[in-house]
Amino acid sequence: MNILNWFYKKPNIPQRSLDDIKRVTKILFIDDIKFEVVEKISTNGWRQCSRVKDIEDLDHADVEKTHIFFVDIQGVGKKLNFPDEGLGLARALKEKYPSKAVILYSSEGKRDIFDNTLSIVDARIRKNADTYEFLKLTEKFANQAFSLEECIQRIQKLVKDETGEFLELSLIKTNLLKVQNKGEIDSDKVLKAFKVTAQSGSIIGTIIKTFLTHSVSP
Amino acid sequence: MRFIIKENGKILVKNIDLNDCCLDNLIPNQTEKYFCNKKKEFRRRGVFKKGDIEVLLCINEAVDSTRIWKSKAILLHDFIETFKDLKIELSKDFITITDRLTHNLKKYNAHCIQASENILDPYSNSSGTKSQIDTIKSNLTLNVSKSSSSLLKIIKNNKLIQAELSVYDRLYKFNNEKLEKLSHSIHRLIKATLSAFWDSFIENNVVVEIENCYDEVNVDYETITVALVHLIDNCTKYTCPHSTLNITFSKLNSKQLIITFKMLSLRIYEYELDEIFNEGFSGELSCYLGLNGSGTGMYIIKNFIELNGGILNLKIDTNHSKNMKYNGSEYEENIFEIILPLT
Repeated sequence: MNILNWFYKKPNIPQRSLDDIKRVTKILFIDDIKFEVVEKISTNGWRQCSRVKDIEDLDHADVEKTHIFFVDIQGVGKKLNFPDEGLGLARALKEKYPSKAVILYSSEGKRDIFDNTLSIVDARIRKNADTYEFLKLTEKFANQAFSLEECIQRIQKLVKDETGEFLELSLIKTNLLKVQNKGEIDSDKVLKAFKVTAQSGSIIGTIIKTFLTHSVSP
Repeated sequence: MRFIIKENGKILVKNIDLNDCCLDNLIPNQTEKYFCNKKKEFRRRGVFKKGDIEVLLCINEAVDSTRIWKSKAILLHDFIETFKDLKIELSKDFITITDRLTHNLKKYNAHCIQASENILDPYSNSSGTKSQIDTIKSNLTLNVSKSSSSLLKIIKNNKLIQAELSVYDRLYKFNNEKLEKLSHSIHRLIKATLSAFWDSFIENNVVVEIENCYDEVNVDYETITVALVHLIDNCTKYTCPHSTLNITFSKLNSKQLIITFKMLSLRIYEYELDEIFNEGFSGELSCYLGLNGSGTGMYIIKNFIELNGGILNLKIDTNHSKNMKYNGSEYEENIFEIILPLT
């Protein structure tokens, strides 16, 4: 607990309640047809939840700012010419933004293709699931992005998968502060602090950036 | 050994690429030695025809290869007869499963249609869409309690449709998808499921008493809800009218929670205990009263609880201390215990 106490005193590492997390998390549904769940998630306090019919550009600011994507398998991904529609779009999003959560949903799934993509995306949910299930998943992935404990766990896992080394909690916390440079994440510092390759380093960098730079809006 | 097996000219099985095939234009029931350009060796090929089945076969050329060729061709021919039976059996199994699915969906859908027609009968109003909302408004207010109960029926049957589809996806489509195990308030899950069934309990004058519980369990929402939907649906069907369903919680240890459903319900005979969780089994009394379904309810409940690392126990009252008759049916105290992992 001593370490935690020490840690709470640092003003620049946010400790967020669920309400804080709800305020900062940006959720984007990609679905060509109106889906009532989107509104229900908003009314449950996730203010930044919206829907677009399709994505034209993976670099678009709205896409870049999003933390959680819900992608319908049917009817989307057409503007970027993915032959397997939403599956292709989900894969592309995950490739471009490995640290963001991508959740697929559908009313029907072609098993073989589906399973292949499923190993890349973060979760899958049935279109006829209860709103409660959508909310639970949203909460799970928002926590991954914005709760300190979860971020540390993700970094621990990434480092362990690559180097086999288990990083202590305190070390990660110290490193979290070290890698900042004038409000920006310094990728060289990330590589140095966590002793990882550029690929994991960039994911860790984005995790830290998302976690630190989204200050709680009033 | 390379072969093509045809029935009435239609290919049933093959292990050879048709574009790269040296089994065309052969004379039935004769073999010939030829030089295979692809394998760079002498081989023996021919067609064995019996009934509707044609076996086109090509094997290595060797001493006595005509005899070997014939025995292999006969073997393939006999195998394909069994294979055809197997295929029919497999499709029968599949048809049974889809029949069950469509039958149940139709049943629930019928209830939904009946209930929604209470709210808006599409044939009663011919004055166009403009007044549709007004018609619904007046229908709703004309008989508030009937409309509310119609809505509840729609909710309940939608829940059952949802559960039916999950069962089909999980049990019959070779679905190995991993479960999404998260922490859920068990009290909330049970109350949410119960809420769809209030109407049925009220119809039978069954009082539901649910104890407070603040524990969270680590389960997959979809599958645990399916189990609860089926369990509670069974409760509405088999609980004795004018009785109480008690739902209580207790901790088995620091890692497991026991959820107890205690009720006065249709008697389960001791000899039925071993079979009640088997697929396709329906109890004697429930069959007698015509309340039985396809006999998959208990099987599904147990299966889906176990998928979540839980245990389902059924305890019947062997002393028959509360045995009673209502409307000629025998009721006894039955206890369903669900043990689930705590978060």
